[in-house]
Amino acid sequence: MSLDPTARPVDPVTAAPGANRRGPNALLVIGAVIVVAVAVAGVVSFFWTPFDTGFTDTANAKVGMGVGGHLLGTDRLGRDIASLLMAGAKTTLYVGIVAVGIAAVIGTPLGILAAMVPRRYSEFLMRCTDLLLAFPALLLALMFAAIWGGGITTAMIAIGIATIPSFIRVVRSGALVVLESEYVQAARVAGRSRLGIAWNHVLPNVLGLVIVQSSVSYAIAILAEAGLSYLGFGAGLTTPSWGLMLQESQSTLSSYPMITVWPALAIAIAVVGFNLLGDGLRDRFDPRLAGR
Amino acid sequence: MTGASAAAPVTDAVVQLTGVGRKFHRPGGGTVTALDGVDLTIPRGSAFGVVGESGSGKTTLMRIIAGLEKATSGRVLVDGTDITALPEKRLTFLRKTLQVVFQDPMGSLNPRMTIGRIVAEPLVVQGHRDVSGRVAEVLEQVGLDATIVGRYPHQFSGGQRQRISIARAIAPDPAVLIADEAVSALDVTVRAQVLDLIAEIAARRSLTLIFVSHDLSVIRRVCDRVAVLQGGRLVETGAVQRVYDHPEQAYTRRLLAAVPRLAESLEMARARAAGNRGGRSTTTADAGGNDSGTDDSSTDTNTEDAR
Amino acid sequence: MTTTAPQQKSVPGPLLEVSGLTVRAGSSVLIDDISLQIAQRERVGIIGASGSGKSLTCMAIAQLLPEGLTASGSVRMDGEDGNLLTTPERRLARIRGQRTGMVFQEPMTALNPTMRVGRQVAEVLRLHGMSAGRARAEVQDLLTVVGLPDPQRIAKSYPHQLSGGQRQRVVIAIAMANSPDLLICDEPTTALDVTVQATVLDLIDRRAAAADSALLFISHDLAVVARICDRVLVMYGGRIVEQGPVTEVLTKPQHEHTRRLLADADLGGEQSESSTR
Repeated sequence: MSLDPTARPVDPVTAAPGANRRGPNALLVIGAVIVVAVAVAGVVSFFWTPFDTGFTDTANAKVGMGVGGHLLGTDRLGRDIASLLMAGAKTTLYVGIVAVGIAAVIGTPLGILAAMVPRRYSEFLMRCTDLLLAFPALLLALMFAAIWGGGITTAMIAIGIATIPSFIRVVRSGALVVLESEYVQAARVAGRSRLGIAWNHVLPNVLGLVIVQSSVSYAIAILAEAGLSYLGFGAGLTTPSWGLMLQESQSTLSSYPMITVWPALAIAIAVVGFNLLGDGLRDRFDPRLAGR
Repeated sequence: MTGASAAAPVTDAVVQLTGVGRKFHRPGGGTVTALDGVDLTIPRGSAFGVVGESGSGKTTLMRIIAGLEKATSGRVLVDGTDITALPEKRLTFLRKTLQVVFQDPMGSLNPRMTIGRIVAEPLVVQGHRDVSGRVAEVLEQVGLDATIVGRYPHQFSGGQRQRISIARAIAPDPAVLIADEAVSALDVTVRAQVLDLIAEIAARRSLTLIFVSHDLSVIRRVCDRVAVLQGGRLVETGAVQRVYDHPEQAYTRRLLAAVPRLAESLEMARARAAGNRGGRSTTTADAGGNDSGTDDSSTDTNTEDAR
Repeated sequence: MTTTAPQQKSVPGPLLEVSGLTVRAGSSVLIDDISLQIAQRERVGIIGASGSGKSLTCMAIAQLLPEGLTASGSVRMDGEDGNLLTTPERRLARIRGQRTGMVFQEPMTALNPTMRVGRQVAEVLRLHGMSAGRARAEVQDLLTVVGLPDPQRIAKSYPHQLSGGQRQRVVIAIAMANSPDLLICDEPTTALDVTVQATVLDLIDRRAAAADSALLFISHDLAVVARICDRVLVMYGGRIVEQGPVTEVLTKPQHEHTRRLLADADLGGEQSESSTR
């Protein structure tokens, strides 16, 4: 548009090759497809499942694939496994969204705070973070369950709290890079308050990292929920859950292994899907934000 | 101490530094002195150059004047107000008086903000009225079309981005404009244009221009006075013409001599061509490993942004 | 004019011959059919605005094009069979270390940050068949020759412990370790301070003369190019628009773009340096 010769984006050497030009990579696409599939299954299960999840087809209990119209067979009570998986996806999504939501909503501002406050305060905050990090999500959930009783809400809160440290760390390191930037210096010279800088400059530029961390944490949350339900501290008996399905299938593991395989597969695929999505997003966001 | 400040009686100082020093604590203990006892008076309405190599303290000096950093000793007056000990919250007057154009045209604009929001930032923060009108006005003043307000920084070239940066700086109508290596990252072909734009704006609005640069020819083109820094100390100050033509200090002379000049280089090329090359290689005095001596001060190239 | 250096043939053909070099990124042409020759010991400069393709030309000649870019045409070097653009990587590696050396703009990225400087220099020597003991002794010599004070201490340092100027000297020591026939320099002093730049330029000048190396020297700074080079190529939009002896091209520019480069570079009666990214 002007005579400015730097306007021509000719030199791909200095123009960070690949960051924007390259199309979405295959793993990212696979991850996204899996995540969307889980989400669709969960959402659809609100309105429709092949069979009612409460319906026990006693005539066709423990049957294999396709028998009696049961796509993936039935469990030991004769419930349709495909329907249970769909309903379980709903729980998985719910748990993930709430747990990751808690972690992101609390962890992101704390991470920005840790980057902006004077060193002695941020040191203190980061040591607290380390302390929390030392508690595995599962252990924290067990403690909570012991205090407030088991249940899906307790599980979600526990998983969420246990995930906060990873958000604080990721956001803090991203925020430190942003705070070094000249546009933040320019904002200070313009007279922006610290809060204004955090809101207008730091937050929008670390959101990419938050999204990436969310998808990774989501995978962890799914596993933790399954584990808790399996141990009996998660979803109640009336709530369909993949972990619960695993636990209930235990007694029939040797004789009817497929009843165990399906929920296990669902968990594995969902976890892989969220991890792939997270990794793919990281590849896309990182070079732009930090370039470390 | 140094400098020929007595030559021209200072009528009105917009920035006055007395004995300003800045020490940094090293993470592993010990301190680094970035600035040491700098006395400097910048007259109102002047175009003042601050020149120095990496590690000279010129960036620290600029940051102290801009209120982005605190001096650890000495006194800093801007427009008659002592800002030495003022916390950032109480610098509102400084934000109205003084603006900065930064070095990196890529890094000085928030990639996730539109041009309109970027240029409006100081206006919004300082509670101006008719923000959008003012934004359009300053964009036109820097030679950009006011219709670009909805676009994002990555859609512009380096030179254009630096113009946007200049527009943001002049938006709140400051009395002092600091340019921190404002053209160093630009391609040679646009550097002169942007440089002239800054000089022209400073002249038209009778701003005080403080131009910080490692590039002596840049300073020479736009400034009327210059201060030479080395290793955190002020080596020499004076009128640009005087300092460039008759440098008083050995370091200034060395700095000026080091700048490659086309005429001289061509002279050497001619001599090489005539003399079929040979013993003519060591023409520039190596001054006995002075490289290691002067640029060893750890800060060094880290002042440049390392990606 | 003929040669005395060991590796060279007595036929005074060009050391490097590039013809019809074209570099593409997908369908867009970045370097458009350029041809150039560099004679033994000749010093050729390339000037041009950023985006003119001068760095890419260099990388294409050195076979170091970034992923996604493809080069066609031919690059031939005296004493090497065939087109270097189609030469297998293993043979290129030998040519790179022994017959060509390279110095880039940013010395920090050219050095391995986790390895002591001495080992990095020794590694180049050892890759080309020197014994460990001899390499160690040679490292001290090389570091001394490039003007580094206290070479023993420097050899034990990591890159980040050195200043920019010192790092660039280390890079030059590595590039010149095997007395290459061709030294490629891409903006070697752009990231350095003015006073350091002068000494580093001087070093490149002296080392190239001592080793009888030809130079391919890229800079946006015309005075620097004139200081080092005999002949200069002016690039614009991926093509060579003008070439000739520096004394001709920079005093009597023919092409309009060369004239503009000269005008833009002249900020007030003298040259200047800056960094383009």
